[in-house]
Amino acid sequence: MTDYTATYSAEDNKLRLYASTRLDDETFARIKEAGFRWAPKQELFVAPRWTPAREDILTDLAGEIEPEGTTMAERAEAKAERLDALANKRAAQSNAFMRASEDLARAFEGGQPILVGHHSERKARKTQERMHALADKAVKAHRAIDYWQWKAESVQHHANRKNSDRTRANRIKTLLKELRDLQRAYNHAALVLEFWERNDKPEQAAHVIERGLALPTGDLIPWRWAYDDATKDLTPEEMRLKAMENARAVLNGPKRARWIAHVLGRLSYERSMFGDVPRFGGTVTPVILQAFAREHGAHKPKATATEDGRFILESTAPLPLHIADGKTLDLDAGEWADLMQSAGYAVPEPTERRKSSKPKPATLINPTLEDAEKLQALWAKQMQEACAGKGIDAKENTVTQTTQARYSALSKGDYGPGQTVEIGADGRRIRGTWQRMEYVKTGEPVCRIRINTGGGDFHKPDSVCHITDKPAKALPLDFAALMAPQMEAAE
Amino acid sequence: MRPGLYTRPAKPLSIPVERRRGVAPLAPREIAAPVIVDKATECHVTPPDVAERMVAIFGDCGDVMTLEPSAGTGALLTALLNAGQSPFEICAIEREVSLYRGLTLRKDLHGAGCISQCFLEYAEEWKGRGDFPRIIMNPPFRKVKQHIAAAVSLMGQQGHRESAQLVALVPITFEHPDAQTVEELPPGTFSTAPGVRTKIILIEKPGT
Repeated sequence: MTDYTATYSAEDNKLRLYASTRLDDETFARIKEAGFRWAPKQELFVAPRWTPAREDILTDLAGEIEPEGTTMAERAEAKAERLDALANKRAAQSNAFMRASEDLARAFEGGQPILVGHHSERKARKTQERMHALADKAVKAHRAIDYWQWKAESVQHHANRKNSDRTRANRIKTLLKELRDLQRAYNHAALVLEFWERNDKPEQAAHVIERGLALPTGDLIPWRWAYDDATKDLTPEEMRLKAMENARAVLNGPKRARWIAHVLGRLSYERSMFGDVPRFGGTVTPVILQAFAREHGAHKPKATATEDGRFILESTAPLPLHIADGKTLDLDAGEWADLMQSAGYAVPEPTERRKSSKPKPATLINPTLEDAEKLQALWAKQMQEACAGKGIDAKENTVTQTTQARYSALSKGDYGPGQTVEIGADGRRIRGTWQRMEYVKTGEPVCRIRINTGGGDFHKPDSVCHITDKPAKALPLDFAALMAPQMEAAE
Repeated sequence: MRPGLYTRPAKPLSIPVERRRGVAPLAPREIAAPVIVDKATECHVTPPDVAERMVAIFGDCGDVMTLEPSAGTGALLTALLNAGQSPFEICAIEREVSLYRGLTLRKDLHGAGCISQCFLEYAEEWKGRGDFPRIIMNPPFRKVKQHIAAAVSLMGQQGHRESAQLVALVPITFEHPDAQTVEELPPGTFSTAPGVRTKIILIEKPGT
């Protein structure tokens, strides 16, 4: 009667089976097929990673799985010892080969030549060959010493690295990714099922298949069904039913839930090695909750704060089971902090934003209608001055009064008539030119304003914009001084 | 799984990493590539212990001119030098080019006269014009009689009081009227020809 002991090691995520006697052929074939391999030095069967099927076999054989008693560090030490012994063995072999080679070389020490054609030639050449072969073996064995010593050292390094904080943090990231991958299949299945329950008419299924419609999470009907021999003859309605059946299998299948539970168990172990997860003491915001839900695999989570200080998390697919049972979760800030702590989620510390290398732009001002008209008059005067003496008639323009929505529509694109420009203390528009590989502005801007270049013409200034449905502000320009020459001329 | 499983034993999270020092590189070793010569050279190297015993037959070594007619890889020369023979009192003859080059590259033989020539031709050329009080040789066995005869023809006191001596390693079947067998060597003395039985002989030519 064989006694079995089955163990699981959370350190390396491996299942091990210890058997008191040699396994019978049937059991051996069974565990070999499941992916277990015999580890002769440790005298056990080991599977490279946990799977539900492997767990089931071990439970069947041993009754119960226990935590592994040895640690990765201990196993590494034992392996390093074995490798050191191998290195010593190679050293002994190298010496022995070299001694044997030297013994054979003595045949030639006295300088006895090889006599070509003599009956001793064959033996002499054979001796020479053996001498060289032994010397080669000695060199090879000597090189192997270095290799096994390097291997032994690496085994120790590897065990330490596996338990280092950095590797553990990366492993947590990988586990979270696995969790999201598993949850994504759940989300897709739930969305597909919901879709097909809502669109249950045969013509709707035909429409989806014909157009190749899909959800953001994936296909409603797998595209390969149209080409596979087993499915290409199905009617759209049959495909719809089959898709729903598949979705139900994903949602209700036993293994995926076990995978998720396993990943969560591993996550809790890895996090426990870093100490307790701190309870979030800051202000809970919808953004924090969304990030938390997204990290755990929720499908496009949307969090909103209610007026009574509670937060509602919603998703079009059911939320992950370890967060909530349903599509929404309504909790207050404290309860959210507790949930995040129990799920092992630590809110990341806010990081300081990178400072822009560009200079801060001047303030954008929506000028009052009065200031806008003054500026428009100033621009008209400046245009007249520019045209004076050239025989050109300067044209005038009027202030554009518009709404923000209208202006936004005008300003779309690089060549839209609505533009934002900088103006200097003299009211002139600041322009930029490239001089000696450097962008140089024509003056120092005091503010930015919106203009309308629509209906532009030669010798006609742009139109100053006044947004009617936004607060307006006086321009930081000394209009009295700027307009004084014009006033004097008028007088 | 139940939540209680997601835990770990209360044991240390990390372990000290032992810094393994890099292994010292293998010390470079010089493995001399054996010379490859044709079997016609009959270059069967005299084992060091046999060479040592052959040199010991001469007694004290030093400034007595010694000839090595078929030097080969220089095994007998090494034994002579180890016994205290001056390299300036050595004349080595080797016909095969690659073996001759090996002799000239030996630093301990700098000063010795190394000649690349067939010993039989050399002896024919120098017969009556020069002599050697000591000759030590491991001649090619195929022409052992000719080589011994040629060596004997070059024996002479060269002003020394002692009689000229020739020590040679020859097949056990070799016979010479003036030769006395010093030692019969066991089978397997030569690694390249373990079945060949050999002996060390001494030929002395008394002075006038």
